Amino acid sequence: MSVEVSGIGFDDPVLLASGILGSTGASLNRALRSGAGGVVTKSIGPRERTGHPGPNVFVDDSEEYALNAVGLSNPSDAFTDEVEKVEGPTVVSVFGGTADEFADVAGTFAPYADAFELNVSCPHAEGYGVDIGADAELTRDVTAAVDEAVDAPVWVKMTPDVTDVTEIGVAAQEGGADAVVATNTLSAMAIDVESGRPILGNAHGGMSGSALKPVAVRCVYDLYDALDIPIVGVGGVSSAEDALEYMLAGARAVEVGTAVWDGVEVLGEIADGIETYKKDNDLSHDELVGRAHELTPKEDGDGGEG
Amino acid sequence: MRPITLEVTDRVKEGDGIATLRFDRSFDVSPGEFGMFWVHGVDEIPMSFAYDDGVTVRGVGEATDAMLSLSEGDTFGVRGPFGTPFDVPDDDVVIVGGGTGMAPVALLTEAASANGADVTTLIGAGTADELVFEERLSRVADVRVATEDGTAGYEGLVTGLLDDVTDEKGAPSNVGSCGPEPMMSAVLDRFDDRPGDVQLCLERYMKCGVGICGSCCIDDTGSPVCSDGPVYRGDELTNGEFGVYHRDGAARKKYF
Ligand SMILES: Cc1cc2nc3c(=O)[nH]c(=O)nc-3n(C[C@H](O)[C@H](O)[C@H](O)COP(=O)(O)OP(=O)(O)OC[C@H]3O[C@@H](n4cnc5c(N)ncnc54)[C@H](O)[C@@H]3O)c2cc1C
Ligand SMILES: Cc1cc2nc3c(=O)[nH]c(=O)nc-3n(C[C@H](O)[C@H](O)[C@H](O)COP(=O)(O)O)c2cc1C
Ligand code: FES
Repeated sequence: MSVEVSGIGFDDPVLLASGILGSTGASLNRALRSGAGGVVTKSIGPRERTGHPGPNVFVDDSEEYALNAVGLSNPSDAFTDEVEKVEGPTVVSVFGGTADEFADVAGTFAPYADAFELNVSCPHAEGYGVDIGADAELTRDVTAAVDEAVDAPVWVKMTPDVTDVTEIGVAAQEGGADAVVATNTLSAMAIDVESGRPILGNAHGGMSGSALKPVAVRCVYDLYDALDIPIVGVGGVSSAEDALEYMLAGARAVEVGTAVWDGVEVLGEIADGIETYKKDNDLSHDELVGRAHELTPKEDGDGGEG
Repeated sequence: MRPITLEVTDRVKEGDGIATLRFDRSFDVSPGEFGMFWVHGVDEIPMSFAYDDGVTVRGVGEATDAMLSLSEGDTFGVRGPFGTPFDVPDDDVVIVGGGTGMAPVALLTEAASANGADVTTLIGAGTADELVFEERLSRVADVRVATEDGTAGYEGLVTGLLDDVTDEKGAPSNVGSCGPEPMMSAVLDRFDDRPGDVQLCLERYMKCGVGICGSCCIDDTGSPVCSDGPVYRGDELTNGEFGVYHRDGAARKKYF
């Protein structure tokens, strides 16, 4: 069942996504015990942050999506005490406002990280995240700075909020990225009709959950055509079918976020379902990844929807 | 769920800086369940239900002070009820409460009594003016109070009163507790030979309330208090952070 992404081995291809039950060593270990092949930590930055005022997160009544504006809360360097306790493959998510800040934070966590994930895609913290990841040049610079600073593989997390995600993916690859992760949340807002107010304390937030999946699957599909480095799929994975959709589109592994809402055991259930599908269809992991591309009629391959 | 809008129908002062807000909608709540209360324009904070249509607020900062300043006709939002509630005993139980823990203690006292249990409820406070729900709970339980300054009832910590009550009545079959964590920890210590009979209701920093964000997870199980808890049995809380530290909004450790 073991899968390799950018030279790192994972027991299975289902990882806990960043910012989800991932602020402490104990909660990350709990995800590993529940069947995650690896874990991505909460994004850690150069300074501690408490985050935005609440409401910070809600799941819509339809249960099709969640909106969040947590605001990159994190304990900065103090997180070393937590990450050192993690008993499995650990991807440390980092953020910063400049290339130097990214490199500094990554340097601090180098002794604990099997890989780094660069959060250049959070949609709701000014000066961070998508303010970098929507710009190809900044993405290339930040990736190159971290690649220079650490030996571990560098994954770059894409925002879906760009006209052409492959342009950013190519920039990350040029900067030395060892994988891309697609995608972070989609910039979004919800308004409470009775009070007339935006629900999130920060007004703007990011949408995750099932409703994000078709958008992120499209990003993975397009990135697979454009890049040579592996892709990790994330957005609305709550079942093995969802994970397989990402793998057929070109993802070597998936991350699961919002779906842990129903219980963290879902991680192991998804991993088991992927394994069953591969056995039933007599597919190796390499054959599975990107298989939809072989089965896509050529005339449909222009990315248009008409 | 999205937040639901509630209107304040009544505000009752319970003590110094403590008030109960009743609202225009009642929820199907079990003892220990909480809501995420949205004080418009300020913040969203977790608060236990003290009634099926009410909360009892202790002002400690911006959001709780803003809640205390609401009056009849004002509105706010809520998501919930959330969390795993108390198992309600039907034989005999001693319930120990204090501070913001009195809301779950009140609902548990009433539910256990309705279940036919023999209920003894101990209420602790620093001073007489901070005692809440003494009269309310005396209707359904044997209520005893302790104040640290001796202005009402037993003089000293409520755990001292617990020792007296255990001497008087014998060891209870079940114990429930909610309040300041050093108090709950001292309660659990007294039953360390059978921690599984003790149910404790915890407070941790909460942002989502539904088991996604991870701000409420406790060591060393990693259990999210908002969904696995806030009520735990004592045997689920050994070797961890219980009684020792909690984390703030930036996930920094804060020692009790
Ligand atoms: C399950 C649960 C039930 C609770 N029930 C009650 C209740 O019935 N009545 C009551 O008065 N209080 C209750 N509280 C405590 C209440 O949530 C905090 O007092 C409140 O959040 C403080 O916010 P503030 O803006 O007034 O103060 P701040 O100045 O922001 O904070 C004061 C202290 O409150 C705590 N706190 C702040 N924000 C949060 C948060 N989002 N989650 C948890 N703790 C926080 C921190 O320890 C902080 O140091 C409960 C908390 C939990 C977790
Ligand atoms: C509450 C919450 C907090 C998040 N925090 C982070 C974060 O700190 N860093 C990051 O890169 N992504 C963060 N994300 C985005 C997720 O990692 C993921 O990319 C997104 O939620 C889509 O996946 P999902 O639909 O499975 O949740 C967060 C998402 C949620 C819901
Ligand atoms: S408050 Fe978000 S997981 Fe508990």
